[in-house]
Amino acid sequence: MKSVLRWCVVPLLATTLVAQTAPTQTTTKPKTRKTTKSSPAITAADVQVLRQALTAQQQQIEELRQQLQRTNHTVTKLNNDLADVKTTLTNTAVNTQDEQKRMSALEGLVGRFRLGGDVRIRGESQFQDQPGFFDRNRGRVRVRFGFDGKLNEDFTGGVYLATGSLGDPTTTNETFTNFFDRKTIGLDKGWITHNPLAHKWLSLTGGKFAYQWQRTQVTGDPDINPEGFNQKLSFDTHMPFVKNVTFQGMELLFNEVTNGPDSYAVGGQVSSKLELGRWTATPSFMVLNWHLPDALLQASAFAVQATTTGSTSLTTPVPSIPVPGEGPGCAGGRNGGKLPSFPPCAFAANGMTNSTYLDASGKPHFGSPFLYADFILNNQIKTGVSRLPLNLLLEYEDNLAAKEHPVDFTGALATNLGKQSHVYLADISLGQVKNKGDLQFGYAWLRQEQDSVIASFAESDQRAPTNILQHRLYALYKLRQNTVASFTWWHGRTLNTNLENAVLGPGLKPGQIEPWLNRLQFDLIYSF
Amino acid sequence: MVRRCHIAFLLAVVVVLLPCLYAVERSYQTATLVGVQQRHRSRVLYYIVNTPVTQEDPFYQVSVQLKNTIYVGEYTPRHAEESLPGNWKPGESIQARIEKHFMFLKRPDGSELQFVIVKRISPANNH
Repeated sequence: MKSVLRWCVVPLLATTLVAQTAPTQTTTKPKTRKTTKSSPAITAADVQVLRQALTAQQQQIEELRQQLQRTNHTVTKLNNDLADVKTTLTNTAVNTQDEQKRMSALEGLVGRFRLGGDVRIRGESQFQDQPGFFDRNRGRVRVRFGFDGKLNEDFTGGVYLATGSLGDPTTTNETFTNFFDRKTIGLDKGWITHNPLAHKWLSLTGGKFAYQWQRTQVTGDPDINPEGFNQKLSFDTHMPFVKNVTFQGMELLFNEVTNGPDSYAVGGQVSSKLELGRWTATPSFMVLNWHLPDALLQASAFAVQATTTGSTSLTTPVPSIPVPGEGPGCAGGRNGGKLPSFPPCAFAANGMTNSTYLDASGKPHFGSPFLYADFILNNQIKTGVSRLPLNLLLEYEDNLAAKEHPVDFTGALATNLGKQSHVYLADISLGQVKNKGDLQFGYAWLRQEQDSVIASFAESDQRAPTNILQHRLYALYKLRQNTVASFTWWHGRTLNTNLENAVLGPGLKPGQIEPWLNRLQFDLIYSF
Repeated sequence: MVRRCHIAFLLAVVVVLLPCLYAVERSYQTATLVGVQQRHRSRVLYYIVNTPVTQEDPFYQVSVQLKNTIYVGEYTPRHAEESLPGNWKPGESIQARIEKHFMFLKRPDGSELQFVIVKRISPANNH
């Protein structure tokens, strides 16, 4: 720019010079040609004019130079701003990528887990054709929720909470009562399972978990989640008939004592999946030995959520004092059976119907040990209609350690009766509950003898935990993919009213046949 | 003696770390989609006494052929509405990366989906 100006100025000055020295053209008479001397080209005035012009040009140049500087400064500033914008955009892009990565990681983490649970509303009626029996009607609610999923590629786990009294593991129901008080919620499940990708046949589970083995109401209420450890070895085969063979071991810890021996159950199960045409069957055989079950008859006030306390000591008796436990409290002896009225006492939310006795110091004990041998055959036969398969469940269970003879309501040995150790179950139904619109209805028959299983853990909705004859009619309908409506009619009675600890209707005497107790349940279950 | 201990220690470190060389991520290769299937797995939600109430959980089974081996992988979507890319059809080419237990397939947007390999089939043995 400066050189351009310089080159412009020089010709300009030169032009100025020429302009100054050019002779003036005036109208004059033609002169005769004379030979005369030329006048001087530049005068002092001319120089002065030139100087003034030069000065003016220099001022202009200076102004232009300053303007150029300002322009350069502006361009530089714009360039810097542009660079800043580029840097900001780059950083934003990087941050966005980082955020996307974090979001993907978060999505990946959250996606590994699955929220789940259900809400059940129940209307229930109980009635018995027995004078003195007060019909019972109640509304109940059950809420269960939690999450489970992959901790990593080889481990899964989960945590679930549920409603229900802390003193009764056989139910998660809460009755509409207690003046709109809030309902109890407790830890229902918490477990980790190791199922390595490299050895998918192996599953090792620890914690408080859902049943991992095949079982029915006979050996444990469906609401119970045992605690301890389970090992499962499951092998799929490619044979034409036998599709799977599974071996399981279980160690269930149910009472830990600080300064004494612990109580636990140890056992194993072998099961298989068989397929032949339309028929699929899952036979299983389980053995479960209960070590030191007497702890269940000497449970703490917290364990039973006692509602009263006191002492029946002969030397220092204390009458019944109410305490704020949620219940059900101590399971008392019935029909001649003797059990403590105050903690430590029997833990059996639905009644202690096993045979028991008191030792010399007044401590209660089970009449028989418990060694379950449980055989189940679960069958499904495809009919012509895919949504209406025929289901047939058969079970035979025997307490191999039961005493030879039971004790009657007088405390005497009933030598006319053999072991009260057997359970027979048959459950037949048509249909399934898998997809929207599915329907299943069925009938079950159960004969469960007194010492077949531990009463503390048996099915909670049947007439009594043991020593019963039970019929059950049921129907289930899947209204929506996540909503099931169900109806169940329990129709049962005590099997042998002569036995110690047998449950009798009000006013019923030992030896009399108990009238059937009916229990109707209407359920609506929403799962998520 | 000390020198021998040092050498032994270094050898032990090398032996321990040697398998890590195989942990280096392998690169993507072009494979051919053999099959894409949506299937369902029954899961028991809860029991009503002895009756199971179940739910059908969807999962995808994808087979790809890479060189002479067909890899069958399973993918469980995070939610029921998640689906595989629409252009994943048998016969189409796809970028695949095979690890020990996993098969990674590249989606059209560049992200990858992780499948658990459940089967490896040699086409020669499959006839």
